[in-house]
Amino acid sequence: MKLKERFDRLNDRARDRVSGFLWLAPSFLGVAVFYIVPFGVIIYYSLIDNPISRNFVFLDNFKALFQNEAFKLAASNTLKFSAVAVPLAVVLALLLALLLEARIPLKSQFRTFFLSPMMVPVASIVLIWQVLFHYNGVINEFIALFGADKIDWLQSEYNQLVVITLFLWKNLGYNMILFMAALSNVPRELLEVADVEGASPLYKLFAVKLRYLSPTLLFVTILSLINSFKVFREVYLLTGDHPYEGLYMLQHFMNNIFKALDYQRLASAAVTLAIAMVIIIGALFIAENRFGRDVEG
Amino acid sequence: MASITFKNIRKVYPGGVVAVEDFNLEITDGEFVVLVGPSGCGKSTTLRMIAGLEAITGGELYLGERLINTVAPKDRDISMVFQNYALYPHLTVFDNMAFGLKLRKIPKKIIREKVEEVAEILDLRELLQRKPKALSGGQRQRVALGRAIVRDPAAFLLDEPLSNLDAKLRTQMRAEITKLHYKLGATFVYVTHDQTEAMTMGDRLVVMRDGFIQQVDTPQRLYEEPANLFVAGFIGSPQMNTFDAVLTKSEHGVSAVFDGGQLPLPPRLLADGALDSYIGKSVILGVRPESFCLEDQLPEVCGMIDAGVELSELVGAEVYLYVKAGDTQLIATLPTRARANPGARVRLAVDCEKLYIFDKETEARIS
Repeated sequence: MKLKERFDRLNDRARDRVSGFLWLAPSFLGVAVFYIVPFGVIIYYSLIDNPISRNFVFLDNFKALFQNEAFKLAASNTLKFSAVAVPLAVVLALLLALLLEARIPLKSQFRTFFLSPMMVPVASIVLIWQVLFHYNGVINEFIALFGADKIDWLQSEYNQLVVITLFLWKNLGYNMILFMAALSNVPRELLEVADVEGASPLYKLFAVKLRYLSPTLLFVTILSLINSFKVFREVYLLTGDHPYEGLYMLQHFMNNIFKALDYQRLASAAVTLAIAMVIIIGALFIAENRFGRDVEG
Repeated sequence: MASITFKNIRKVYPGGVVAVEDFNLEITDGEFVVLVGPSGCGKSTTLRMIAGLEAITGGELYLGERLINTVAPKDRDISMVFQNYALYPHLTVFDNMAFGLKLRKIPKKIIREKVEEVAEILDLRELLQRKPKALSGGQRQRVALGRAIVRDPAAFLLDEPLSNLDAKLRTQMRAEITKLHYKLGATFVYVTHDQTEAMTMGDRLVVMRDGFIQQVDTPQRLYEEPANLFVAGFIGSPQMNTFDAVLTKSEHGVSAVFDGGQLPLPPRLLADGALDSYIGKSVILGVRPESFCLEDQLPEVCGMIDAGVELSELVGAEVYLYVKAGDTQLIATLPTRARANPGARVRLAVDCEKLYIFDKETEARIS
């Protein structure tokens, strides 16, 4: 009763503020419990020697992490994978969207075809890919028809190629749909002016369309970046805890040190990854803000 | 500069929608032609066919002597101004105006000279370094015009360029464009749905409806000699009063009898005998609101109508009187002293020399 009286005494603005906070509270509680607090705990864990004695060791865990060969391998593999897979996922999806934007036959069939991998559960995808890329799988049988030697796809230099193909197959469709939606929002008159004034299709793409696509480009790049980290799921199901060297990703590393209950290394790896992501995404945001500044709003 | 010739031009969209049918027109070099008509009449499609932004389904389109049906837009030597300006938001006014010249790899020095010269004409010199976001609607449209002018094309195509502006600015820009046409002496093809814009700007007007040309003529002749009921209704503001009437012959001559009164037809209307076969039949009678007058200014041949006032709108120098005679609704444009309250009875004179008679079936003007 006392609380209600105090609430009633507040002026309109204060009352709005209090009720606003109250409405937000349940979601905020969820975010706090599952994201903010754990993230704080992780930062804390990355700066102490162990959860029992809890001595503050500042950056020692990070130093140890950067000297760890497994981490270096995982970081370098992840970086290599993302550096190839993300631009490919963005550029190929954009090219597909541009192609499907043109008047071509069987347009809607193509669209459905590229979107269909989204509907298949990961476990089924992996099963198919195992059948395809197994040493005695379909692809090896196929290339054997032409007299080529069989390749151990997942246990050789070709493994990243397999995973990049898998990644693209899974993600291109969604990225393409996002680009198609953005392309349909490019003002038609601006393209028509370009036509009348004598611009080439390439000029129209780079000088007009990409400007308007820049928010989508940013979104698709971030999405692909996040998905490139998530490719662990497929790789793990394909190859288990310790895959061939070239497929040992950061999440393998984290998964394995989590199993070994090495919280300090896990926490410092997680914080390092978070910092790297913030820097990359921040840089992308700044670039997008500069490039797309005039076409937005 | 060039003439534009349409020979049996036809446009059918996928799905069979006919946008333009049997379009024949010759626009002479330096002429200002306005394509006017209601939404969906095919006027913008026609303009876009000249620009090369719509494929031509049938017929032949010439720019000067050159057949341009399949020529790419950039090779047609035309400029187009769009309704919503179509300025590149990331480019400055200068770069927007220089856009076409840069693409044509014109030397920088010449580009600068040309852009500055046009900016001077359009009063844009102070704004050259601004981006479109920092301009008002009128300024943006002037930049779009500048981009069109700077290239010195054979013809200018303008697709409802004033529709996004407020009424005051529209009137101002209307005059600017007309002046620009005089100054450049180039061929202008202008699309609008606003008959006032069309009447005030064009050397000739092309009135369109459902993809067909209804009439091509000067604004004055379109107003005075409309070819059919549609043109009569479309040109003129407020629009012409049209209502059913029966032509009746008596000892005093021929009159048009309608629900609400009767109007005598002057000898001039009967002279060519075109109305002879309509005596005793139902026709559509047309009276322009301006053809009404007060009792003290009676014209030579006039008829009187008794009507009840429903509404009067004062529009400055004159008043629009909305009246009802019998079941016939009429609008009369009269001097302000004719202002009357709703419910009042008025006696209006009609200048019968200015009556229009249309065939009820074909809607063509008989007299």
